[in-house]
Amino acid sequence: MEREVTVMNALGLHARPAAMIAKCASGYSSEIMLNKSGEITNCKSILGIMTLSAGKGTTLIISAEGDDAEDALNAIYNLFQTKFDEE
Amino acid sequence: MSSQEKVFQVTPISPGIAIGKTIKIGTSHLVEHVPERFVAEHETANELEKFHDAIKKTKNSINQLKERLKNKLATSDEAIFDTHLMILEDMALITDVENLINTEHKAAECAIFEASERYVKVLEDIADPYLRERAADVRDVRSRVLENFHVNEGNSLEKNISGRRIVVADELTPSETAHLPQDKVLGFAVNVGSPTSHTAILARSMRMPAVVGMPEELMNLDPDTEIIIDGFAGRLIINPSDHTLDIYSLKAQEANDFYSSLLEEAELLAETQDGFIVQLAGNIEKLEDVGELKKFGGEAVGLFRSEISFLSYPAPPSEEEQFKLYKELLSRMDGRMVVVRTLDVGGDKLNDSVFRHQEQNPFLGLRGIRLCLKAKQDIFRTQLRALLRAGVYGDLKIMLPMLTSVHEIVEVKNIIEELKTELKKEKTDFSRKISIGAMIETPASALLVDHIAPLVDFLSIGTNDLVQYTMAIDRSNDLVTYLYQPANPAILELIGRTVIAAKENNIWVSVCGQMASDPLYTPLLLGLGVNELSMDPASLSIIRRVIRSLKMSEAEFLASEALKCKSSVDVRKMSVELLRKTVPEIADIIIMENER
Repeated sequence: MEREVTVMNALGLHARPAAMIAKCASGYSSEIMLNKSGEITNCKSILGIMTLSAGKGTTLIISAEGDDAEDALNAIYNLFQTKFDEE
Repeated sequence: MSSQEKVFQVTPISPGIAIGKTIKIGTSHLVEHVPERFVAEHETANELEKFHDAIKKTKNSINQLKERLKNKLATSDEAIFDTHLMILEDMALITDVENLINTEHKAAECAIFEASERYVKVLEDIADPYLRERAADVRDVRSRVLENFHVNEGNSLEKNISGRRIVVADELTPSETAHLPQDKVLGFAVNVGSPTSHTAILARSMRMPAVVGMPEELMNLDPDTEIIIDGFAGRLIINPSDHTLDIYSLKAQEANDFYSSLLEEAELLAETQDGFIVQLAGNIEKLEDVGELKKFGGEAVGLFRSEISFLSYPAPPSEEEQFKLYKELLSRMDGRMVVVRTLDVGGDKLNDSVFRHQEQNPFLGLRGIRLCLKAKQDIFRTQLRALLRAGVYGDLKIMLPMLTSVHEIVEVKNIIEELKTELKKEKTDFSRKISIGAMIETPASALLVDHIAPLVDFLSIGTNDLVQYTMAIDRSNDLVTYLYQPANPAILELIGRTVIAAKENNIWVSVCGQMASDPLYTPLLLGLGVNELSMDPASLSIIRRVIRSLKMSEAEFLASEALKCKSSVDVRKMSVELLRKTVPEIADIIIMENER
């Protein structure tokens, strides 16, 4: 199960959004990955997400596999949509 | 001093001026190399254990450091430690290390270094300066973990610094910065870093002047050479001439004057330009806090968190123990007002030996006055008796937390009357006219305040819980902290109602939550008509300055406009504008800290 998403917050996936994603993903049993044009990282790893270096405008594919894949996918997707609550 | 003065342009990362001799700190504290070492297959389990053990120990020490710096750092700065904790818990990193141990039979220290090095390298290559800075965090955390393996023995900064010096280093990690002894370090100059680094944020919190991008030759200077760092203009001066020294001494004086002038104002009344006086009080939890409160000019204890003394005893303290504590508190306050909040805990706070409840959601559970009235009335009665008795020795007031109904107040008042009769019979001395106040910290109590106010002698608004319960957010859940908005018009409405009810019933009203210590909200709270602000003692001086610079008419106008706003963003904007106009020196400081 996967879904495309664009980084919309001004600062891109810096430490705080990365932490939010990792924390959110850790709440699900599914395997959740982020794919930046072939570079794949586990959503449960803050370091992995930061090293993706995805700035504003980057398109990513979120994929999830497991029992709660759909919920997990939606939760991560929503974080991007709400721009990680950056004011 | 025959050497020539040299001036360098550097990047300022923390404002202030430091003049002094240097102390060089090498980069030996950072582990930059670990010799390759392999173990036999049967030893890998042991290496894994060593690895997990080291992670655990490092987590503990970070948590301790976080605790130690708790009141010294802004909440946003504490996030540094959370980042470090998240790195330690990083699933991918842990898996990488485990794999290196399991499949390649690498020794634990070696595996840790190698696995983290990959991330360091990638992060260092990222164009975004903010992300690049995170490489320093990984190296910092890694070095802390590797300390457990003694690859890099003994380098205590504290021990190496003699006299007051300016620290010169190639790089300082955030945790090293946090460890710098503030009484010995005048400031620091580092080669690597940026204004957005955690090190810079920490330096600003610690009010330690700092610059980055220092010239290479500074590392090779005789430590007795005098230097100046200018954390305002971004200058570093080696061997300053007498003339330069004069100019900078004056400039340093001016900068330092600001903070010390705040302290000198400790004796001054918190009076607005147009003559309106606000009482400034302190939130404290121990007898020893009274000294700090007086130093910053606290006029009263606006909130004594009595549960803290309960938590330090293995069993709830006896009536006699509590009586002595409250009596001593009153005596140390020299007759000034002391408001004691009765036991305010939930099942989550007091440990199992006393309160053995398992609650799904302790913040919505049996806590505060509920616990006192329902489950633990014996403990509550003991506390009230101690308070009634201590009330003879000064201006003691009782404050009830977590109220949601009028009935709760009536019940407490009945208990107090019973206790008074008891004490009378026993011929024990007690205060016959002790004041009782209601904390307004739930939406229900704020909405019922017209019925509550006639029953009590004062009101105190606990903004932390009021915001939490009104906005329906758990303050410890960082996914929703963006909704922690004290300036949300919904909150202002509740505060406004409370103030009006207090005025109509001729009683005073205080604010004792964190909102009271944020200069941005001072004009708002004043304008809404609050009589007292109670906060952590260290915040008193800055709040006093804000009040003394302000006109009540401006504050009232701001408050009336704020009540019409539709969002907290609009309210904050107006508040910032007013602060910029009235106390630019403080606006500069808080805007800088809020920027990120």
